[in-house]
Amino acid sequence: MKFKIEGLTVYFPYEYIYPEQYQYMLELKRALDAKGHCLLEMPTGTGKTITLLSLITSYQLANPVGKLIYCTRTVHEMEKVLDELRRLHAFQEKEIGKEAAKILALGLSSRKNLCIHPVVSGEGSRESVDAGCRKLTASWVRLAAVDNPNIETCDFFENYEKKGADALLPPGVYTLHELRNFGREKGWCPYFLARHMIQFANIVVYNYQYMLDPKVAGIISRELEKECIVVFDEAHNIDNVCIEALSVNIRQQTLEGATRNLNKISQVIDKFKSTDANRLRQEYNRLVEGLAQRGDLPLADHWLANPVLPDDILKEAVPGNIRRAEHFVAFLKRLVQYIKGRLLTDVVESEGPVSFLTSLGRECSIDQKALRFCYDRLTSLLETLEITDTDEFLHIQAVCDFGTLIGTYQRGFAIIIEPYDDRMPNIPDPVLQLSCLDASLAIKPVFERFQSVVITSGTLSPLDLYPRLLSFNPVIFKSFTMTLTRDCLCPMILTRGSDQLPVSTKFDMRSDPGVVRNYGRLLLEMVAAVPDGVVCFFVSYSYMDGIINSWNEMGILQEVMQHKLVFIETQDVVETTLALDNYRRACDCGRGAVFFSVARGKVAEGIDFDKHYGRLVIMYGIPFQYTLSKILRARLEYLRETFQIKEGDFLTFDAVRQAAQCVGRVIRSKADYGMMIFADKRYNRHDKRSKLPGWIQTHLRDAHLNLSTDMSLHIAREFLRKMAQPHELLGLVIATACGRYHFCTEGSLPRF
Amino acid sequence: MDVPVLKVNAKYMGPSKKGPAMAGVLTMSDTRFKWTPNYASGSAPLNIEFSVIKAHFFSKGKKALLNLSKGSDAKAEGYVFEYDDVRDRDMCRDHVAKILGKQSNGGAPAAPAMKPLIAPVAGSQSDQFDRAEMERRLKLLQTDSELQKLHSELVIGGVLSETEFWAARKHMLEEDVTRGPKQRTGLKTAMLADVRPLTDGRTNKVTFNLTPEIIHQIFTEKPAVHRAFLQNVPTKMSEVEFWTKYCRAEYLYRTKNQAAAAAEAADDEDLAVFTREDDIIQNEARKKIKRVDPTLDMAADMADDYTHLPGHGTYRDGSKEETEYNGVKLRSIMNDINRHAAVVLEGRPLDGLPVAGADTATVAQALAIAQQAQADSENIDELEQKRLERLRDMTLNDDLQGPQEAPHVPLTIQDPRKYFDSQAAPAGESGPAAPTSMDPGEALDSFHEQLVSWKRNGLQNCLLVSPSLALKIMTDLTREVAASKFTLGRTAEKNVLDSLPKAIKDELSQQSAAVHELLRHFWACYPLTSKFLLEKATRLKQAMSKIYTHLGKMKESASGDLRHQISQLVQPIFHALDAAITHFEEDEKRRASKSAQKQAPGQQNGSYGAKLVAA
Repeated sequence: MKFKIEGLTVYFPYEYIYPEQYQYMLELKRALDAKGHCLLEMPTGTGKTITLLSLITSYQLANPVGKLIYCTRTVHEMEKVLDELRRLHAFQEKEIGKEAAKILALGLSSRKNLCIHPVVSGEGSRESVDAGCRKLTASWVRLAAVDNPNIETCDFFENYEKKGADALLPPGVYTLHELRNFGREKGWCPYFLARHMIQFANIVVYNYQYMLDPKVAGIISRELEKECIVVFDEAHNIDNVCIEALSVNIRQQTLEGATRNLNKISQVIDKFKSTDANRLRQEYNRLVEGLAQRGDLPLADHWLANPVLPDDILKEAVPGNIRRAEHFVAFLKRLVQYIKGRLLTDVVESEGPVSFLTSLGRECSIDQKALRFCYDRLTSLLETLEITDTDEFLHIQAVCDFGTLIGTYQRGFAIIIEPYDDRMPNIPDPVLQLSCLDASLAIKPVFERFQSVVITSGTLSPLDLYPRLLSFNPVIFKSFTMTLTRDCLCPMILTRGSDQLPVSTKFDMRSDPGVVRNYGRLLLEMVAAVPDGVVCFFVSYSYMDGIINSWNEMGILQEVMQHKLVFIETQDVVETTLALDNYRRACDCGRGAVFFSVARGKVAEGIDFDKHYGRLVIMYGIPFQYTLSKILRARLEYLRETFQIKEGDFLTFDAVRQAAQCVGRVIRSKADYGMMIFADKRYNRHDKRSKLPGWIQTHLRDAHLNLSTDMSLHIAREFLRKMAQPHELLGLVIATACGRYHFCTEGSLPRF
Repeated sequence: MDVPVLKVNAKYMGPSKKGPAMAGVLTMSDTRFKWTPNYASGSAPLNIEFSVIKAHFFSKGKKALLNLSKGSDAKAEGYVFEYDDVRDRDMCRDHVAKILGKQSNGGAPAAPAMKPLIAPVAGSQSDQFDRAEMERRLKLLQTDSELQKLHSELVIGGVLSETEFWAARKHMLEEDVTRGPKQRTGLKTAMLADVRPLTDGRTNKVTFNLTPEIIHQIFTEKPAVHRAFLQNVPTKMSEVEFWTKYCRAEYLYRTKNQAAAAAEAADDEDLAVFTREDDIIQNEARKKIKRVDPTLDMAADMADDYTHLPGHGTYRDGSKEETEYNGVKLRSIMNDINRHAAVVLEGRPLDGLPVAGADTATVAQALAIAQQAQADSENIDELEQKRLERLRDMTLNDDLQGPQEAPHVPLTIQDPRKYFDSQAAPAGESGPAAPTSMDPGEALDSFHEQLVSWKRNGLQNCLLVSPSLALKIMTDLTREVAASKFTLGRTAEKNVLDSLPKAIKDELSQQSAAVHELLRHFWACYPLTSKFLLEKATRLKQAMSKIYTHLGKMKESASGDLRHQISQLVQPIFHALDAAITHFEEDEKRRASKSAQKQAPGQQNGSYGAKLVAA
């Protein structure tokens, strides 16, 4: 339908709209008008994505704004966004004609997902595909291939290059799959084509890190204009993404690899000295002139960009002590040696970058300035030495990133050296962790650079925490409630098993056989009563592993299998993906299935269990972080000092948002229905319960608190019986100003 | 006279029912069965009437036994036969069941005119005694009791021939053939391959029990074991040795003795197969990952993640954990469960193969062939299409979409004018001018006229009913209207038929089925071009008249309330029958006059059937 919001014509590809979607558009439009950032929380199951897309594309049609950069957490979310966009685009075309509605929208991903080269795309990992591509497309390889036809190049890339500026994507909506198909059809490389087309596109959909992680953003998102509208969807975890983006860890394997890399580099330097000494001299001269990076680097020569934020990159001459290639290698060797020595410790050490730098300077005479140039100097060297197998050099890359980061930032970081994992003290696995503590660092340039940044998710409660964590001032921040035509959500808090003994995953209780059995009985009762799909979330992998083994020995698992097939998330993504696919098929064919998954795991982050794929979610325990972790401790301390956020508050906030995120996966539209069981006695406490998002709390009636297994089974049966009744949307149809019909479910009506 | 219907080899177990079994030939007709021993010395031949048999029993096990008992339980005196083939037994069993069923239904077993169940009609080529066809018909009759009743009434009653009866039901027979088993049976969800060792409690010995079914599941779930079996058995080791090794590996794994398992594997390369990570599964996974639903492809996601390049991101921050022990991936129960569920979902690749009873070698071979065939038949384009469709499904929000029109089959009328004319004609004939066609004003005028005439003339010349009768009628009508208003809609599922007593209901439905069948055949006879058809039509007409009178009687004999309802129900039947009989008689007359014209008059046949008046 087509309607007006404060004078803006909005094209919405469905015949009806929920009132909260309308409200959401209204607020979003005001934020865009004000050219400011906004923070919007809208419950899952209300069609957030299509609302966003619909308003922003309509806004783009009416106003001269830049492109829409839509950031998703995962590739499969990206595919979904693009598919919704296709529907929207088809609708716009119908309404205003093909010419007027012309847009170019594309998804961007890594080479691994876009490559169509028959050999390279078959490579196993992301790094090997990247390296394989570089081997065929690096400028010096192609140069050599001109003279020597035996040197292999990539036909797709060559064809694309030959076309030059004429290689363009016609308007339309392109998913990764369609990009690949288009590439195959034309014989062009889809990856480089997509990267090139970003500057012409109206809508770009890609992963968070292409915007947040300087290593990737430095290559992909450098040339975006200020007027862009940036959207972070499902942004409840955005602080963690920011922190990850600026963190480096160095383990024994890294150092060993780095040493190997340095030896290899020395060999190549020696070889060059004897054959092509001129090349090294040229590089030296360039560095003297202060050009660490050549500005006109050919497209394919880019690898990973500088790990520090664009504003902090020094634009001056590389210091003299690392200009010569052999000096730089010696410099890095000293650094690696020093870190090796630090890793030998038996106790946990924690210090700030400043003290680390001091001792580094004292013991190996490495100064901060030289460290800052570590990354730039390395890339320059690798390029000079014409090294293409980048996947081999990741170790030294990590060491250099570490050096550049500690050379650049003195605040908001901590260096933590742990000799072993607390949970497995017998296995020595020393790690030096440079941990970013301040989530606002990575996102700061995004807020500064772009006119409007929209942060949205189903669970952003408490709303006021995010502006503090990310230190920005939203012009609008608002949480929307969900209007429902029937009570299609049924959250329950289960505190006891059938034998009235309390259940919890509290550390002292979790391995108690009574608790394990009660949890098992709960699942058993539920799989017998609930049709189709059931999803269980556990607090951690190790806990899930333990409890599955116990259930297997107790025979509970076998009994569960009498009712439904069982699928489990494992650490292997391929296996998990196949398990999920099979899970869906089992639900489709009516056999029914149970999926065991982990809160904070990959599945909890981005897989929907809507409709019959998830009629019930059981959240076993509260997914607290491992509170003894040194990194977490350091972060909590930093939060307390800088933002005055209490440790306990943050931990509970973090755990409850994860739990809410897990259970929120069951509902995706209002016609859908699902139950949620929070199985832990601690959820019954007010401080935990009150942190759940509003749309869960409103449905959490007093009768659904403090339940035992049999009581919850009774409620579940009642609920399912009620939901099985035929469902009619009770709605009001009112005429809007533009004469079109506008649909509103019962509840709040939009004002005109 | 007895026509032998069945003749099979069967062993008679002797009067004690326990054996010794004596080989011989068993012949069954509709009234009796005979058994003749192959060797005269064995036992006296049997010749028994079915009327003495009260019940029959058969074995479910491997031995194909049939027990024809004189008493009502299996232990009573009787005759036990053992068959070489289960199918022979089943055929006999079905035959006996039919006859016994008839005995118990109809009291006296066989009227003299009773024909064999499936009567071969001589002379017609297509009616060759086809055993397979007969079996199919028999089976269909057994599964459908309605059809059986109809069959017994019409065919065995001699109205229709066997072929005529089945000619109209070819599709039922064909369906039965093509359908095969009604539903494909899937695999059980239980994890059979997860064999648990049994201990006897006294010694250290543990026992594993493997059945062919379990072995089949092991093969499908662990392709490496399957491959090893095909390679090594029986060339390198015997089957027992193979499974001993397998169980040993399983036992070590089960007792969590990973180190011991690894040590054993290092010693014995055959054993290593069972402990190592399965490379076939890995390859399969790589293939399958390409066609999963893009909305849950987490592998693609992983490939897009540059934050977690080795050495980047946080390694040990308390929310993540690594269970990789020094890069060695351990086999865990989780992998087994996932694999099991995947296999179960894929279904039974050995459809139609007798898994039970076959030896493991054949199972292994058959499985290999089935898997190969499956791999060959995959179509990339189709999969791609499905993938996209699923993606659409996942993102569409049907809640916000407008009401979809319910799918319907468009009505196709070849000749609309003819259709509507035929609809309109009876209405025009039956009543006076349709009130709808009258102008409202006109109607009012005519009513007014009538009113005026009444006023003027009074009601003297009208036929008056007695007030008491009028009142009674009015009360009845009012009550009926009120009742129907009350019950309408609420008791939608209630049928008039349901209010009748069961016996009458059954009788009615059976009669109506019979009438339909007869009518179908009757009308199919026209035009009566041959003598055969004429005879058939006459025969059918007679049968119809019989039913007509029967129904009439039934109606008459029914009491008060029921009578009305029954007459309502049989009304359409009567109409149809009337039409048929009238047509027949008219045709008869025409033919008679025609023949009278040709020949001398007075040679007419006697008129058929008394004129029956509809009540």
